[in-house]
Amino acid sequence: MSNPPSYEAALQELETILQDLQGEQTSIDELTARSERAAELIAYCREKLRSTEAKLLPKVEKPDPST
Amino acid sequence: MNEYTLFELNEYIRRFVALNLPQAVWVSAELASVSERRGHWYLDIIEKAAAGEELRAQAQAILWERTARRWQRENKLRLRELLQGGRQVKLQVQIEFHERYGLKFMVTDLDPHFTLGQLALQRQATIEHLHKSGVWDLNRNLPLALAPQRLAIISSPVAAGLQDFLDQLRSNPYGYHYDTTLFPAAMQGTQASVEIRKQLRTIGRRAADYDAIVIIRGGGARTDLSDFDERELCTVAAKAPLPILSGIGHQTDQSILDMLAHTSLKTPTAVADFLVNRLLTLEQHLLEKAQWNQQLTTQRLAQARSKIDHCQQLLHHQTQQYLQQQYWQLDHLAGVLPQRTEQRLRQAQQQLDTLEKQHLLLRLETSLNRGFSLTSKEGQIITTAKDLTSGDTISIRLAQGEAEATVVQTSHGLSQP
Repeated sequence: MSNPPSYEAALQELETILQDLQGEQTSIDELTARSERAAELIAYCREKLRSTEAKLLPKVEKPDPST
Repeated sequence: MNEYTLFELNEYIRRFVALNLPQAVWVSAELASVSERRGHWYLDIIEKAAAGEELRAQAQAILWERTARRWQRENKLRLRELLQGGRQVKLQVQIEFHERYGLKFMVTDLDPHFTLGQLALQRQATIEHLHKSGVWDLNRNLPLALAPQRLAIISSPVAAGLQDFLDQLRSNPYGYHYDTTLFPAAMQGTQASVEIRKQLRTIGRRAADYDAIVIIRGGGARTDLSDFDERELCTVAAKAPLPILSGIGHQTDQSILDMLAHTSLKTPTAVADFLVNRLLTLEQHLLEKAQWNQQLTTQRLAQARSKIDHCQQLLHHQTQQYLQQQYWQLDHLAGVLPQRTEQRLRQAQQQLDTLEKQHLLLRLETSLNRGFSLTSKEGQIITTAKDLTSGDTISIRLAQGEAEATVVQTSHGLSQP
């Protein structure tokens, strides 16, 4: 899979594929490839979110109610 | 014209004086100079012209030691306090003329109230003069340093008050240090005013070296205070460029110098206490300020910390929210993907179905044209006679048009090729 340059680009591509699927612009020959590409993009985006979350959120200390 | 020897003449004058002035008389005059020898007082008395310094009259008076002692005992006053140069006095004198020693006034009594009253009037005049000449408030309005530690002291080096002052200052329990410089001056008598004024001027020229002028003296009698009522001294003191702290040692009355000094205290020890307390107050004030400052700093830091904590929480919350939205969007898209894929597949299927139907219809038309027909009952295509019974209404589709027919009879097995 060719990695998209950014999360936004991945999302953009994903939305285009889904729009094309709805509008019958996708040929049946391409259907498998495009559906798989969409699944890859979803996985890519999820992974990106997870890593971002892991990087950002553990640093924040939950306020201690006893102080 | 009569002619006398000197003795005869002086004897004549003696008798003349004794005859005409047989009793003592009261005379008021100003003391030009006073001297005391072995208890006897020798007074130069004068009267000046109403305006100016010109003498209108002058005489010598003697107060014998025995009379002086009796007078002091009866009046409970010391002659030293009253008989000073420049004072107005009212004397009771017995006038005597001696052939050899000439005219003498023998003092037999002295009116103390006259002198003290004159002093009071003079004092009032001095106060008014100082007010009118605009110097009265000068020294009192000078700012006193918060920590007056460089002191110019005017006192007599032998005065007990000076030692009391220095002892009290140096033994302060807080360890405050004071730089003291003594400017010696007589603190009583005729020289006091001159010397104090001279030292005030000396200090005035070096005003930047000191914070305050301290004028102190041991205890003294009431009339001694008049040294500090003197007009010229008070004028110079009022104009001094540094605040004056006075402790000239008396409990009941204030001299004019005390009135116009920046701060007037009753004793030299009290002046020292005042100076120590001023530093103590300043130190306490500074300590309070420092404490307050620390509190404020702690408070500000706590405020800043809580603000940062808040921002951090907000950041955490908003990051979480943002990521959550992204997850939702992805979930949504992930849900849509199979739907869309399936939908697309269904569309292709439907297309195929349509094409297939068209293909079937084309094949049917060819058969009909060859003479075959299509039988249907209630919309269902009939391919076997088993589905028909007599009396059924059937539709027969031909290449050209349709016909309706009724079944008369059915038979099975014939049509099997």
